[in-house]
Amino acid sequence: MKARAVPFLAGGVLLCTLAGCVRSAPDLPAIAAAPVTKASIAEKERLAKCGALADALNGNKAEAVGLDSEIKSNRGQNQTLGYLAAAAWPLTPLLLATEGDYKEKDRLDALQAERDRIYAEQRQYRCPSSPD
Amino acid sequence: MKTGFRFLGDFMALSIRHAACLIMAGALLAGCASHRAYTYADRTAAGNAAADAKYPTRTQVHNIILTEGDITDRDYVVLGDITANVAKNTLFDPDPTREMIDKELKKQASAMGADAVILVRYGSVGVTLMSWGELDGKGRAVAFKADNEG
Repeated sequence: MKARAVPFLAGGVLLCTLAGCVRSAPDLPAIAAAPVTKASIAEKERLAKCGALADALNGNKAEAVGLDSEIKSNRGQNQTLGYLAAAAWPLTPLLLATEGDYKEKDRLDALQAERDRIYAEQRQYRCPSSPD
Repeated sequence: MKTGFRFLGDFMALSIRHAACLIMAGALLAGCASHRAYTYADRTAAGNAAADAKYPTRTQVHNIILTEGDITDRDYVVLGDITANVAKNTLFDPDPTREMIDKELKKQASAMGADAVILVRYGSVGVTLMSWGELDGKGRAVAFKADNEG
């Protein structure tokens, strides 16, 4: 292999490795044809259900905030290592020290799916809109 | 003849230098903006109708409600799903924020005549092939039904 090709190869490896670092926003849930409301449910039962859903939502959001800050805390290190590896190809192995946070990102996606399910149920039960 | 080729060679070298200078100037000027944003809308039939009707009063951006949840106490019609991406231009620019995504989503919702963006969700900032830091967000643009609408 020509020596000139090495930096390009390293650059390609670098970009391919780092491209995995971004996490896209999860897809939106399908649009419901018409919201199904549980009109026949007793008021007491409705309030209890809405309370339980609100609690579940709060727990979900708290966990997501924790995961977000964990991912954020690794960002500075990842950028520094990425920059060094891009600036000098012999430093490419530094990329092995970057934190992909893949487990956390998968968990965030799962939490979002769970939140979508809770929002749909809140709509069914006509619970008050939850503040962000 | 030889002189002619030399002249042509000099001219081409000069042109390449000029082109390089222009590219560098462009790159420097592009660096003045720290972020770039791009958006996308996937309209529903109601959204297309709204676009065709060219909403006489486009909703003011600052009046648009934006929530990560759903709006359960008002009926609405879905205009479409919208996406916004914000990317930083250089490694040294600050990372894009959720507030930047919110702003882009609101701008897009405003153009669609929406009253609110619901079910907003965000990705996590990370490196892509095109940027050292990119963040995206999605939401559903909705318009509230009037009280007398079914």
